[in-house]
Amino acid sequence: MDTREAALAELEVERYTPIDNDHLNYEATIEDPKVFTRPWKISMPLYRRVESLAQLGEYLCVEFANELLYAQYSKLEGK
Amino acid sequence: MSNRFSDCTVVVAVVVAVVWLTSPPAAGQAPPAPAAGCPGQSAQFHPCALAKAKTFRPPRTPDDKPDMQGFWRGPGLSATENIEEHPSTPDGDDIGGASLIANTPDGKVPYQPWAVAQRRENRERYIEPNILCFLSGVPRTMYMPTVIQILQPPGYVVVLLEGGHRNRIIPTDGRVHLGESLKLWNGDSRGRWEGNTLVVDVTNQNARPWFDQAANFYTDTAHMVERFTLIDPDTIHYEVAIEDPNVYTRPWKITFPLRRVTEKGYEFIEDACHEGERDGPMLRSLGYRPYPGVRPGSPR
Repeated sequence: MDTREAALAELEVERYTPIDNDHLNYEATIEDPKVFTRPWKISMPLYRRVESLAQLGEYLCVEFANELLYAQYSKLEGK
Repeated sequence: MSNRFSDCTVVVAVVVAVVWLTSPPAAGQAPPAPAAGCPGQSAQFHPCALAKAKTFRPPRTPDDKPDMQGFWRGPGLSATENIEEHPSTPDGDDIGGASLIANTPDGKVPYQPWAVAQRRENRERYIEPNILCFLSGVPRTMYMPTVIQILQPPGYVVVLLEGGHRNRIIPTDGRVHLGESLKLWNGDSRGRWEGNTLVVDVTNQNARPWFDQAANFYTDTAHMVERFTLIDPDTIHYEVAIEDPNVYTRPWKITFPLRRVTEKGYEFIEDACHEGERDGPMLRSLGYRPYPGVRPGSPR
């Protein structure tokens, strides 16, 4: 069995549960009998951002990020 | 989406682009399809859609805003090739299409003389920003050749793109713009409802995206105001007014219909812009550079 098959066999169930106004409990159950000896879980709280003007930042994930950010300082581009 | 150039055709495309700059537009190009009973060409669609908006009563969300939620298609591939009228290219790399511009007499961007020269230089020196999978900016995000989804949780309008998994999150709660010094790829959007129209004020542009593959551009002093209005159950009239006193001789508008995707159970596929993308390094090896954004009098 290759790793791709393993990934396809995986079953994941997520549960999001409010525990008060500003907290969720996040839980994911991971089950894959070809890889793990038993189902297992991860769990963590999610905290609400309470700033009145909270907003997501702009995020730009670009391959060759270093080159794009710093190319002007390199020998090739620094003209 | 943005990666439709293969390694070989891009060189041809650059050469063709230079030829096409000096060629007259091709005759007999199919006009855009009508929408909501209005002609599809932007200059004719715009007044017709404004008239329809006066009488159409849109469905409402639970918080009593016009309900634009769902999946929508914009004007398709030709718009992101060039917002001005342009012919198909002999190699088929451009499919060609009509102008997206609503209100200039010749359907062209009303550039100041320096900006006409700058656009040419953009093409000659720089890599089209979308090829490098940068964000497409506003307004180009709205006419990428992909399906978009509009969601309206209370206090927001969210626009998701299938292509490249991009998004715009537009607060409609009256909050102020970000500070002027923060420049963003998509700018900073603030929405409000005027009657049945969503009006979005866009500032804080870093002006590193282009309008299109033809290097039509703006600068970081650009101010844009978008208007979204349902004109029938399955058509949104989208327009964006563009002002940038550094670049244009007058304010101008882009407009087009957004048509509802009516396939039942439509669902986005996952689209990673960068997967398999190899044109950036090749273009760099040919001497093209990432576009840094320009201002009048920028060193070249």
